[in-house]
Amino acid sequence: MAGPNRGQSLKNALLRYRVLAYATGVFLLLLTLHIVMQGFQMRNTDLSWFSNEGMSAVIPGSGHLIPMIHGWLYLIYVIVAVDLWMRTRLPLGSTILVVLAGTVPVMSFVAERWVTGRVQPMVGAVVERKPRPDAVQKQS
Amino acid sequence: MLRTALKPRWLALLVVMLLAATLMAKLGEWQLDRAREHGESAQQAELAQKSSKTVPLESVLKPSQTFQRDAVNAKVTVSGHWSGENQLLSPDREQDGKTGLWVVTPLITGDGTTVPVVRGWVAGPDDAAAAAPDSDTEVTVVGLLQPSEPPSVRKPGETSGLPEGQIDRVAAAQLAALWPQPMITGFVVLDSQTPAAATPITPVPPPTSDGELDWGNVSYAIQWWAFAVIALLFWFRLVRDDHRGLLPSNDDEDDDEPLDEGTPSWPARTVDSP
Repeated sequence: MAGPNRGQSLKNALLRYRVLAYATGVFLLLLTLHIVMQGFQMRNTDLSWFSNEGMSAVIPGSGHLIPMIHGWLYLIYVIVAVDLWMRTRLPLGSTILVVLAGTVPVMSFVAERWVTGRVQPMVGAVVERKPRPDAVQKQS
Repeated sequence: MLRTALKPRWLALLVVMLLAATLMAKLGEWQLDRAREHGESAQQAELAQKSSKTVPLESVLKPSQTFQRDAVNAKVTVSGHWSGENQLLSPDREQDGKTGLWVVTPLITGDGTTVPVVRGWVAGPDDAAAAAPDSDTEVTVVGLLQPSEPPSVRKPGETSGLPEGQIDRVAAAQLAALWPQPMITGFVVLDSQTPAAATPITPVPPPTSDGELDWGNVSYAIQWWAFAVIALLFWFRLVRDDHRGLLPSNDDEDDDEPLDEGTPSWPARTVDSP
């Protein structure tokens, strides 16, 4: 079980998490911009806040797509973050914060730095262990 | 496994997770309701168009009043006289696959309220039907009430680039600068008028719908339910790990339990080990 694939699969899990953290972060910034624009447009229209066209004024249709894409990306982000937690057992409380960070603008970038800082050494450790016999670990 | 699950901390966490999952399931349901509503509002317009029941405009929307949700697609009747000299054309309006213009004429009611009326569609600005109506005759208009279109966003000093007498959006905010006040914050899409117009004009159909669900809201509904499932799976995984002695607090370096593939048990620790 403790084959050399472990290090690689942890590395892949970390990469998946990082990609999703960036993608979610970027779309959350777009979503924030969209909502702020809706707020400004409200001053010129008589519509309620979210009935304004927001980003659609700049890129047609984006006002509908951005919230939808962010929603799906965030769902995958949560799955990938939980998967990474299962593999690494980072502290539970911090993991919950990492999951929630995907809903706060800019915070997912911060979370990505934190997670990468923690998990990268683990990846190195797993790879390091590879040539050693299992018995060495048991002795400790 | 069951005994582990019944530990007070896991029971407490289960209650929390169940509450969270219930809340998320409810939010999913709410989104699905909204998705249905969105699909229905366009259908309502077609139904209202066909129905013969009308309400006086002032009973659903007063001048300068914020447009209420239930006023959308109301079939209203309003009387007054046209202000022909203030008529505007709104280009880039597609109808039956052709691009033409909307003829937007202000109707001044008895109490002096300006009501923007989309009288119909013309193929070109020189179309005979686009001629401004006579301002003296009293007319009664029946049509579907619509909220103002969102005004186009421009940089300060930037213009629409349209010729004189044309507007890009039927927006109260933009019309306010051109037409007498007070004005309503929506417009009426003309269905019929009495007496009939001197030159017949192609009517603008009510907003058409596919009668389908709004996929943005459907997405949110699915996502909420997925979060509910993830919350419960998360709890299950925690309990199982505790059962297998894998949680950090219970970790006594006893590695007898087989590990799942891809689950290094605290590999960081092996770095410290001599």
